[in-house]
Amino acid sequence: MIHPFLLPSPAEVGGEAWDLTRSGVIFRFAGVSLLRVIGGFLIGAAVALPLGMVIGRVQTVRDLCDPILELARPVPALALIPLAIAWFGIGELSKLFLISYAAFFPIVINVIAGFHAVDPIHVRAARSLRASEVQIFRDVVLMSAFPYVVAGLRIGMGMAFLVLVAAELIASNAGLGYLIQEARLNFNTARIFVGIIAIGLLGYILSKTLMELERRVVPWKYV
Amino acid sequence: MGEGSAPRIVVDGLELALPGPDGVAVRVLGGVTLGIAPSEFLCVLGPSGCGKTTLLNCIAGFLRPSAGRVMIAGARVEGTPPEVGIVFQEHALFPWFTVRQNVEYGLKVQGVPRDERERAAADFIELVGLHGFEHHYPHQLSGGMKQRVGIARTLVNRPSVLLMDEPFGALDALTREAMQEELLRVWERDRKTVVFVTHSIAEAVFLADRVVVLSPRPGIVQAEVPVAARRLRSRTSDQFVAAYRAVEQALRREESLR
Repeated sequence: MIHPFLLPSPAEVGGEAWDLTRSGVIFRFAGVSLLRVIGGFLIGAAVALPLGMVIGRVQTVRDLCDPILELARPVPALALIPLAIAWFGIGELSKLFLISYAAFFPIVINVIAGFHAVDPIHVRAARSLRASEVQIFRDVVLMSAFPYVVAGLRIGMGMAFLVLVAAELIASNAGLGYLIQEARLNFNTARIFVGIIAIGLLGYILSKTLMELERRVVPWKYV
Repeated sequence: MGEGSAPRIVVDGLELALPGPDGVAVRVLGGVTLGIAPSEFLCVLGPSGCGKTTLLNCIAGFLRPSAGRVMIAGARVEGTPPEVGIVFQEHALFPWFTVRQNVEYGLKVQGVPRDERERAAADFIELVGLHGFEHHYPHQLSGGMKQRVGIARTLVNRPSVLLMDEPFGALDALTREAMQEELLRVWERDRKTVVFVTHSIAEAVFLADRVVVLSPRPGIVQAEVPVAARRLRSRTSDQFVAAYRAVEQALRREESLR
Protein backbone atom coordinates (compact mmCIF):
# COMPACT_ATOMS: atom_id res chain seq x y z
CA MET A 1 0.00 0.00 0.00
CA ILE A 2 1.11 3.51 -0.76
CA HIS A 3 0.76 5.96 2.04
CA PRO A 4 -2.15 8.38 1.40
CA PHE A 5 0.26 11.22 2.13
CA LEU A 6 2.24 10.29 -0.98
CA LEU A 7 -0.70 9.46 -3.20
CA PRO A 8 -3.99 10.92 -2.00
CA SER A 9 -7.23 9.32 -3.17
CA PRO A 10 -9.11 10.88 -6.10
CA ALA A 11 -11.86 11.82 -3.64
CA GLU A 12 -9.39 13.79 -1.54
CA VAL A 13 -8.00 15.55 -4.56
CA GLY A 14 -11.54 16.25 -5.76
CA GLY A 15 -12.49 17.69 -2.38
CA GLU A 16 -9.43 19.92 -2.38
CA ALA A 17 -10.17 21.05 -5.94
CA TRP A 18 -13.72 21.90 -4.91
CA ASP A 19 -12.50 23.94 -1.94
CA LEU A 20 -10.06 25.88 -4.08
CA THR A 21 -12.68 26.46 -6.74
CA ARG A 22 -15.35 27.59 -4.30
CA SER A 23 -13.00 30.05 -2.62
CA GLY A 24 -11.87 31.27 -6.05
CA VAL A 25 -8.21 30.82 -5.10
CA ILE A 26 -7.49 28.53 -8.04
CA PHE A 27 -8.84 31.08 -10.55
CA ARG A 28 -7.01 33.96 -8.95
CA PHE A 29 -3.75 32.01 -8.98
CA ALA A 30 -4.29 30.79 -12.52
CA GLY A 31 -4.94 34.40 -13.53
CA VAL A 32 -1.73 35.57 -11.87
CA SER A 33 0.25 32.84 -13.60
CA LEU A 34 -1.37 33.58 -16.96
CA LEU A 35 -0.53 37.26 -16.66
CA ARG A 36 3.10 36.40 -15.91
CA VAL A 37 3.33 34.07 -18.90
CA ILE A 38 1.76 36.60 -21.22
CA GLY A 39 3.85 39.47 -19.85
CA GLY A 40 7.11 37.56 -20.22
CA PHE A 41 6.04 36.25 -23.60
CA LEU A 42 5.26 39.73 -24.89
CA ILE A 43 8.61 41.08 -23.74
CA GLY A 44 10.44 38.15 -25.35
CA ALA A 45 8.48 38.53 -28.57
CA ALA A 46 8.99 42.29 -28.69
CA VAL A 47 12.75 41.76 -28.70
CA ALA A 48 12.80 38.63 -30.86
CA LEU A 49 10.60 39.84 -33.75
CA PRO A 50 12.59 42.87 -34.95
CA LEU A 51 15.91 41.22 -34.12
CA GLY A 52 15.01 38.02 -35.99
CA MET A 53 13.85 40.03 -38.98
CA VAL A 54 17.12 41.94 -39.24
CA ILE A 55 19.23 38.82 -38.67
CA GLY A 56 17.19 36.91 -41.25
CA ARG A 57 17.46 39.59 -43.93
CA VAL A 58 20.99 40.95 -43.47
CA GLN A 59 23.85 38.56 -44.05
CA THR A 60 26.47 40.51 -42.08
CA VAL A 61 24.21 40.80 -39.05
CA ARG A 62 23.54 37.07 -39.32
CA ASP A 63 27.25 36.25 -39.39
CA LEU A 64 27.72 38.46 -36.33
CA CYS A 65 24.79 37.21 -34.27
CA ASP A 66 24.72 33.51 -35.14
CA PRO A 67 27.60 32.44 -32.85
CA ILE A 68 26.18 34.43 -29.94
CA LEU A 69 22.74 32.91 -30.41
CA GLU A 70 24.12 29.40 -30.82
CA LEU A 71 26.10 29.76 -27.60
CA ALA A 72 23.25 31.21 -25.59
CA ARG A 73 20.52 28.91 -26.90
CA PRO A 74 21.46 25.70 -25.05
CA VAL A 75 21.56 27.54 -21.71
CA PRO A 76 18.28 26.63 -20.03
CA ALA A 77 16.34 29.47 -18.49
CA LEU A 78 16.50 27.65 -15.14
CA ALA A 79 20.30 28.04 -15.10
CA LEU A 80 19.70 31.77 -15.04
CA ILE A 81 17.61 31.75 -11.86
CA PRO A 82 20.53 32.78 -9.62
CA LEU A 83 21.47 35.52 -12.05
CA ALA A 84 17.88 36.67 -12.28
CA ILE A 85 17.68 36.96 -8.52
CA ALA A 86 21.00 38.81 -8.33
CA TRP A 87 19.93 41.26 -11.03
CA PHE A 88 16.24 41.73 -10.41
CA GLY A 89 15.67 40.51 -6.85
CA ILE A 90 12.93 38.08 -5.98
CA GLY A 91 10.05 40.22 -7.19
CA GLU A 92 8.00 40.20 -10.38
CA LEU A 93 10.88 41.44 -12.52
CA SER A 94 13.04 38.33 -12.13
CA LYS A 95 10.09 36.12 -13.13
CA LEU A 96 9.39 38.22 -16.21
CA PHE A 97 13.08 38.07 -17.08
CA LEU A 98 13.21 34.28 -16.92
CA ILE A 99 9.96 33.79 -18.84
CA SER A 100 10.87 36.30 -21.54
CA TYR A 101 14.30 34.72 -21.88
CA ALA A 102 12.71 31.32 -22.43
CA ALA A 103 10.18 32.69 -24.93
CA PHE A 104 12.81 34.68 -26.81
CA PHE A 105 14.81 31.83 -28.36
CA PRO A 106 12.20 29.81 -30.19
CA ILE A 107 10.71 33.03 -31.51
CA VAL A 108 13.96 34.55 -32.72
CA ILE A 109 15.15 31.30 -34.30
CA ASN A 110 11.89 30.83 -36.21
CA VAL A 111 11.72 34.45 -37.30
CA ILE A 112 15.29 34.22 -38.63
CA ALA A 113 14.43 31.02 -40.49
CA GLY A 114 11.27 32.61 -41.88
CA PHE A 115 12.91 35.72 -43.23
CA HIS A 116 15.88 33.76 -44.47
CA ALA A 117 13.78 31.12 -46.24
CA VAL A 118 12.12 33.45 -48.73
CA ASP A 119 12.18 31.56 -52.03
CA PRO A 120 14.01 33.62 -54.68
CA ILE A 121 11.66 32.25 -57.34
CA HIS A 122 8.75 34.01 -55.61
CA VAL A 123 10.69 37.26 -55.56
CA ARG A 124 11.45 36.80 -59.24
CA ALA A 125 7.85 35.99 -60.02
CA ALA A 126 6.66 39.12 -58.21
CA ARG A 127 9.33 41.22 -59.92
CA SER A 128 8.34 39.83 -63.32
CA LEU A 129 4.75 40.86 -62.52
CA ARG A 130 6.21 44.32 -61.98
CA ALA A 131 5.79 44.57 -58.22
CA SER A 132 7.84 47.34 -56.59
CA GLU A 133 10.41 46.56 -53.91
CA VAL A 134 7.98 47.68 -51.21
CA GLN A 135 5.26 45.46 -52.67
CA ILE A 136 7.70 42.55 -52.87
CA PHE A 137 8.57 43.01 -49.21
CA ARG A 138 4.93 43.17 -48.16
CA ASP A 139 3.49 40.49 -50.43
CA VAL A 140 6.39 38.04 -50.69
CA VAL A 141 8.94 38.46 -47.89
CA LEU A 142 6.48 39.09 -45.07
CA MET A 143 4.04 36.49 -46.34
CA SER A 144 6.78 33.83 -46.67
CA ALA A 145 8.02 34.52 -43.17
CA PHE A 146 4.59 34.73 -41.60
CA PRO A 147 3.94 31.00 -40.94
CA TYR A 148 7.38 30.66 -39.33
CA VAL A 149 6.74 33.71 -37.17
CA VAL A 150 3.39 32.35 -36.03
CA ALA A 151 4.88 28.92 -35.27
CA GLY A 152 7.72 30.60 -33.38
CA LEU A 153 5.25 32.56 -31.28
CA ARG A 154 3.32 29.41 -30.45
CA ILE A 155 6.46 27.51 -29.42
CA GLY A 156 7.73 30.57 -27.52
CA MET A 157 4.49 30.68 -25.57
CA GLY A 158 4.96 27.00 -24.72
CA MET A 159 8.49 27.64 -23.46
CA ALA A 160 7.31 30.61 -21.43
CA PHE A 161 4.74 28.39 -19.79
CA LEU A 162 7.32 25.71 -19.02
CA VAL A 163 9.51 28.18 -17.16
CA LEU A 164 6.61 29.80 -15.33
CA VAL A 165 6.30 27.29 -12.52
CA ALA A 166 10.03 27.22 -11.87
CA ALA A 167 10.05 31.01 -11.81
CA GLU A 168 7.20 31.03 -9.35
CA LEU A 169 9.05 28.63 -7.08
CA ILE A 170 11.72 31.28 -6.45
CA ALA A 171 9.57 33.36 -4.18
CA SER A 172 6.07 34.55 -4.69
CA ASN A 173 2.77 34.89 -2.93
CA ALA A 174 0.45 33.97 -5.77
CA GLY A 175 0.34 31.80 -8.85
CA LEU A 176 0.03 28.09 -9.56
CA GLY A 177 3.74 27.47 -8.87
CA TYR A 178 3.32 29.16 -5.51
CA LEU A 179 0.25 27.02 -4.81
CA ILE A 180 2.29 23.85 -5.24
CA GLN A 181 5.24 25.14 -3.26
CA GLU A 182 3.05 26.31 -0.41
CA ALA A 183 1.11 23.02 -0.37
CA ARG A 184 4.36 21.11 -0.08
CA LEU A 185 5.42 23.18 2.92
CA ASN A 186 2.04 22.41 4.55
CA PHE A 187 2.21 18.67 3.73
CA ASN A 188 -0.96 19.03 1.65
CA THR A 189 -0.30 16.51 -1.13
CA ALA A 190 -3.85 16.67 -2.45
CA ARG A 191 -3.37 20.37 -3.10
CA ILE A 192 -0.14 19.65 -4.94
CA PHE A 193 -2.07 17.39 -7.27
CA VAL A 194 -4.76 20.01 -7.80
CA GLY A 195 -2.02 22.50 -8.67
CA ILE A 196 -0.40 20.10 -11.13
CA ILE A 197 -3.71 19.35 -12.82
CA ALA A 198 -4.53 23.05 -13.00
CA ILE A 199 -1.17 23.75 -14.63
CA GLY A 200 -1.79 20.96 -17.11
CA LEU A 201 -5.24 22.29 -17.96
CA LEU A 202 -4.05 25.87 -18.34
CA GLY A 203 -1.19 24.77 -20.60
CA TYR A 204 -3.54 22.65 -22.66
CA ILE A 205 -6.04 25.47 -23.15
CA LEU A 206 -3.24 27.89 -24.02
CA SER A 207 -1.67 25.64 -26.64
CA LYS A 208 -5.03 24.65 -28.16
CA THR A 209 -6.03 28.29 -28.44
CA LEU A 210 -2.76 29.19 -30.13
CA MET A 211 -2.99 26.29 -32.55
CA GLU A 212 -6.51 27.29 -33.50
CA LEU A 213 -5.33 30.86 -33.95
CA GLU A 214 -2.51 29.61 -36.16
CA ARG A 215 -4.92 27.70 -38.38
CA ARG A 216 -6.94 30.83 -38.90
CA VAL A 217 -4.18 33.29 -39.62
CA VAL A 218 -2.21 30.92 -41.88
CA PRO A 219 -5.07 29.37 -43.88
CA TRP A 220 -2.86 28.42 -46.83
CA LYS A 221 -0.97 25.89 -44.73
CA TYR A 222 -3.97 24.17 -43.24
CA VAL A 223 -6.95 24.39 -45.59
CA MET B 1 9.10 33.23 -89.58
CA GLY B 2 8.72 35.80 -92.31
CA GLU B 3 12.03 36.80 -93.89
CA GLY B 4 11.10 40.45 -94.14
CA SER B 5 9.67 41.08 -90.69
CA ALA B 6 11.99 42.64 -88.11
CA PRO B 7 12.67 40.27 -85.22
CA ARG B 8 10.79 40.97 -82.02
CA ILE B 9 13.64 39.65 -79.90
CA VAL B 10 17.29 39.87 -80.85
CA VAL B 11 19.93 37.93 -78.95
CA ASP B 12 23.31 39.04 -80.23
CA GLY B 13 26.57 37.36 -79.26
CA LEU B 14 25.23 36.70 -75.78
CA GLU B 15 27.86 35.43 -73.36
CA LEU B 16 27.41 34.79 -69.71
CA ALA B 17 29.81 33.66 -67.03
CA LEU B 18 28.61 32.86 -63.53
CA PRO B 19 30.76 32.42 -60.43
CA GLY B 20 31.26 28.67 -59.87
CA PRO B 21 31.37 26.87 -56.53
CA ASP B 22 35.16 27.21 -56.28
CA GLY B 23 35.08 30.89 -57.18
CA VAL B 24 36.26 30.30 -60.74
CA ALA B 25 33.89 31.80 -63.29
CA VAL B 26 32.00 29.23 -65.36
CA ARG B 27 31.08 30.15 -68.91
CA VAL B 28 27.44 29.17 -69.22
CA LEU B 29 26.65 30.82 -72.54
CA GLY B 30 29.38 31.10 -75.11
CA GLY B 31 27.98 33.55 -77.64
CA VAL B 32 24.36 32.89 -78.51
CA THR B 33 22.90 34.70 -81.50
CA LEU B 34 19.20 34.41 -82.27
CA GLY B 35 16.40 36.38 -83.85
CA ILE B 36 12.84 35.68 -82.86
CA ALA B 37 10.07 36.98 -85.10
CA PRO B 38 6.82 38.53 -83.85
CA SER B 39 4.25 35.77 -83.21
CA GLU B 40 6.88 33.10 -83.54
CA PHE B 41 6.73 30.10 -81.23
CA LEU B 42 10.35 29.22 -80.57
CA CYS B 43 11.48 26.24 -78.56
CA VAL B 44 14.96 26.10 -77.06
CA LEU B 45 16.20 22.58 -76.57
CA GLY B 46 19.40 21.18 -75.16
CA PRO B 47 20.93 18.83 -72.63
CA SER B 48 20.72 19.67 -68.92
CA GLY B 49 23.15 22.36 -67.91
CA CYS B 50 23.54 23.79 -71.41
CA GLY B 51 22.29 27.19 -70.30
CA LYS B 52 18.72 27.09 -71.66
CA THR B 53 17.28 28.57 -68.50
CA THR B 54 20.17 31.01 -68.28
CA LEU B 55 19.40 32.20 -71.79
CA LEU B 56 15.78 32.72 -70.80
CA ASN B 57 16.82 34.57 -67.65
CA CYS B 58 18.92 36.92 -69.78
CA ILE B 59 15.99 37.61 -72.09
CA ALA B 60 13.85 38.18 -68.99
CA GLY B 61 16.36 40.71 -67.68
CA PHE B 62 17.11 38.70 -64.53
CA LEU B 63 20.75 38.23 -65.51
CA ARG B 64 23.09 40.77 -67.02
CA PRO B 65 25.09 39.42 -69.96
CA SER B 66 28.87 39.28 -69.63
CA ALA B 67 29.10 40.16 -73.30
CA GLY B 68 26.69 40.71 -76.17
CA ARG B 69 23.16 41.98 -75.76
CA VAL B 70 19.47 41.21 -75.75
CA MET B 71 17.01 43.54 -77.44
CA ILE B 72 13.24 43.35 -77.28
CA ALA B 73 11.27 45.51 -79.71
CA GLY B 74 14.45 47.45 -80.42
CA ALA B 75 15.19 48.30 -76.78
CA ARG B 76 18.03 46.83 -74.82
CA VAL B 77 16.81 44.64 -71.95
CA GLU B 78 17.55 46.07 -68.50
CA GLY B 79 15.33 44.44 -65.92
CA THR B 80 12.13 42.73 -67.00
CA PRO B 81 10.55 44.75 -69.82
CA PRO B 82 6.84 45.49 -69.32
CA GLU B 83 5.76 43.57 -72.42
CA VAL B 84 7.39 40.36 -71.19
CA GLY B 85 5.51 37.72 -69.23
CA ILE B 86 7.25 34.76 -67.63
CA VAL B 87 5.94 31.31 -66.79
CA PHE B 88 8.28 29.59 -64.37
CA GLN B 89 9.51 26.07 -63.96
CA GLU B 90 7.53 24.60 -61.04
CA HIS B 91 4.88 27.33 -61.51
CA ALA B 92 6.25 29.61 -58.70
CA LEU B 93 2.74 30.45 -57.49
CA PHE B 94 2.45 32.36 -54.24
CA PRO B 95 1.27 29.68 -51.79
CA TRP B 96 -0.26 32.27 -49.45
CA PHE B 97 -2.62 33.59 -52.14
CA THR B 98 -5.70 31.87 -53.52
CA VAL B 99 -5.96 31.11 -57.23
CA ARG B 100 -7.75 34.38 -57.85
CA GLN B 101 -5.33 36.42 -55.74
CA ASN B 102 -2.44 34.87 -57.64
CA VAL B 103 -3.96 35.60 -61.03
CA GLU B 104 -4.87 39.19 -60.24
CA TYR B 105 -1.57 40.00 -58.51
CA GLY B 106 0.08 41.58 -61.54
CA LEU B 107 -2.94 43.85 -62.08
CA LYS B 108 -3.11 44.68 -58.39
CA VAL B 109 0.47 45.92 -58.18
CA GLN B 110 -0.23 48.02 -61.27
CA GLY B 111 -3.08 49.70 -59.43
CA VAL B 112 -5.91 48.31 -61.56
CA PRO B 113 -9.20 48.88 -59.70
CA ARG B 114 -10.60 45.91 -57.83
CA ASP B 115 -13.71 45.12 -59.91
CA GLU B 116 -11.77 45.46 -63.15
CA ARG B 117 -9.02 43.11 -62.06
CA GLU B 118 -11.50 40.63 -60.61
CA ARG B 119 -13.26 40.53 -63.95
CA ALA B 120 -9.99 40.04 -65.83
CA ALA B 121 -8.86 37.35 -63.39
CA ALA B 122 -12.18 35.53 -63.77
CA ASP B 123 -11.80 35.62 -67.57
CA PHE B 124 -8.35 34.10 -67.51
CA ILE B 125 -9.20 31.54 -64.85
CA GLU B 126 -12.03 30.51 -67.15
CA LEU B 127 -9.67 30.45 -70.12
CA VAL B 128 -7.38 27.91 -68.46
CA GLY B 129 -10.36 25.85 -67.35
CA LEU B 130 -10.20 26.48 -63.61
CA HIS B 131 -13.61 28.04 -63.11
CA GLY B 132 -14.81 27.05 -59.63
CA PHE B 133 -11.31 26.91 -58.15
CA GLU B 134 -10.92 30.67 -57.56
CA HIS B 135 -10.77 30.33 -53.80
CA HIS B 136 -8.51 27.31 -53.62
CA TYR B 137 -4.94 27.63 -52.41
CA PRO B 138 -2.18 26.29 -54.68
CA HIS B 139 -1.43 23.30 -52.43
CA GLN B 140 -4.99 22.11 -52.96
CA LEU B 141 -4.44 21.82 -56.73
CA SER B 142 -2.78 19.16 -58.87
CA GLY B 143 0.48 19.90 -60.68
CA GLY B 144 -1.27 20.55 -63.98
CA MET B 145 -3.79 22.88 -62.38
CA LYS B 146 -1.03 24.83 -60.65
CA GLN B 147 0.74 25.34 -63.94
CA ARG B 148 -2.53 26.53 -65.52
CA VAL B 149 -2.80 29.11 -62.75
CA GLY B 150 0.79 30.11 -63.47
CA ILE B 151 -0.08 30.61 -67.13
CA ALA B 152 -3.24 32.58 -66.29
CA ARG B 153 -1.29 34.75 -63.83
CA THR B 154 1.11 35.69 -66.63
CA LEU B 155 -1.42 36.05 -69.46
CA VAL B 156 -3.76 38.31 -67.50
CA ASN B 157 -1.16 41.08 -67.83
CA ARG B 158 -1.40 40.73 -71.62
CA PRO B 159 2.30 40.42 -72.34
CA SER B 160 3.27 40.43 -76.02
CA VAL B 161 6.29 38.23 -75.32
CA LEU B 162 5.91 35.04 -73.33
CA LEU B 163 8.95 33.32 -71.82
CA MET B 164 8.32 29.80 -70.56
CA ASP B 165 10.92 27.84 -68.62
CA GLU B 166 10.15 24.12 -68.81
CA PRO B 167 6.66 24.87 -67.57
CA PHE B 168 5.44 21.29 -67.97
CA GLY B 169 8.64 19.57 -66.82
CA ALA B 170 7.17 18.38 -63.53
CA LEU B 171 3.97 16.96 -65.01
CA ASP B 172 3.18 13.36 -65.90
CA ALA B 173 3.20 12.46 -69.59
CA LEU B 174 -0.57 12.57 -70.18
CA THR B 175 -1.14 15.82 -68.32
CA ARG B 176 1.82 17.23 -70.15
CA GLU B 177 0.38 16.50 -73.60
CA ALA B 178 -2.98 17.91 -72.57
CA MET B 179 -1.27 21.07 -71.32
CA GLN B 180 0.66 21.43 -74.57
CA GLU B 181 -2.57 21.30 -76.55
CA GLU B 182 -4.17 23.77 -74.22
CA LEU B 183 -1.23 26.14 -74.47
CA LEU B 184 -1.52 26.10 -78.25
CA ARG B 185 -5.25 26.77 -78.03
CA VAL B 186 -4.57 29.82 -75.86
CA TRP B 187 -1.67 30.90 -78.04
CA GLU B 188 -3.73 30.72 -81.26
CA ARG B 189 -6.00 33.45 -79.90
CA ASP B 190 -3.51 36.27 -80.07
CA ARG B 191 -0.23 34.72 -81.21
CA LYS B 192 2.22 36.17 -78.76
CA THR B 193 5.93 35.75 -79.35
CA VAL B 194 6.89 32.71 -77.30
CA VAL B 195 10.27 31.43 -76.18
CA PHE B 196 9.72 28.02 -74.65
CA VAL B 197 12.57 26.12 -72.98
CA THR B 198 12.30 22.36 -72.77
CA HIS B 199 14.41 19.24 -72.77
CA SER B 200 11.75 17.14 -74.49
CA ILE B 201 12.19 16.75 -78.25
CA ALA B 202 8.56 15.67 -78.67
CA GLU B 203 7.33 18.72 -76.79
CA ALA B 204 9.48 21.07 -78.87
CA VAL B 205 8.40 19.53 -82.17
CA PHE B 206 4.74 19.54 -81.15
CA LEU B 207 4.75 23.20 -80.15
CA ALA B 208 7.34 25.14 -82.09
CA ASP B 209 7.57 26.99 -85.36
CA ARG B 210 11.29 26.56 -84.96
CA VAL B 211 13.43 24.50 -82.63
CA VAL B 212 16.80 25.87 -81.54
CA VAL B 213 19.26 23.28 -80.26
CA LEU B 214 21.88 24.54 -77.81
CA SER B 215 25.23 22.84 -77.35
CA PRO B 216 26.46 21.68 -73.94
CA ARG B 217 28.15 24.28 -71.75
CA PRO B 218 29.17 26.84 -72.77
CA GLY B 219 25.95 26.93 -74.76
CA ILE B 220 25.85 28.20 -78.31
CA VAL B 221 23.24 27.67 -81.01
CA GLN B 222 24.12 24.28 -82.46
CA ALA B 223 21.29 23.83 -84.92
CA GLU B 224 17.96 25.32 -85.92
CA VAL B 225 15.17 23.08 -87.13
CA PRO B 226 12.06 24.74 -88.58
CA VAL B 227 8.84 22.76 -88.10
CA ALA B 228 6.37 23.53 -90.84
CA ALA B 229 3.59 21.04 -90.06
CA ARG B 230 0.16 22.59 -89.42
CA ARG B 231 -1.21 22.66 -85.88
CA LEU B 232 -2.64 20.78 -84.08
CA ARG B 233 0.03 18.33 -85.08
CA SER B 234 -0.46 14.64 -84.99
CA ARG B 235 2.28 13.16 -82.89
CA THR B 236 2.49 10.21 -85.24
CA SER B 237 2.40 11.91 -88.67
CA ASP B 238 5.34 11.51 -91.05
CA GLN B 239 6.05 15.24 -90.83
CA PHE B 240 6.20 15.08 -87.05
CA VAL B 241 8.45 12.06 -87.07
CA ALA B 242 10.74 13.66 -89.66
CA ALA B 243 11.08 16.84 -87.60
CA TYR B 244 11.65 14.74 -84.48
CA ARG B 245 14.48 12.87 -86.22
CA ALA B 246 16.04 16.09 -87.47
CA VAL B 247 16.13 17.55 -83.95
CA GLU B 248 17.35 14.30 -82.49
CA GLN B 249 20.18 14.18 -85.01
CA ALA B 250 21.18 17.72 -84.19
CA LEU B 251 21.37 16.78 -80.52
CA ARG B 252 23.36 13.61 -81.29
CA ARG B 253 25.78 15.42 -83.53
CA GLU B 254 26.48 17.90 -80.83
CA GLU B 255 27.02 15.10 -78.32
CA SER B 256 29.48 13.32 -80.58
CA LEU B 257 31.45 16.54 -80.92
CA ARG B 258 32.21 16.49 -77.21
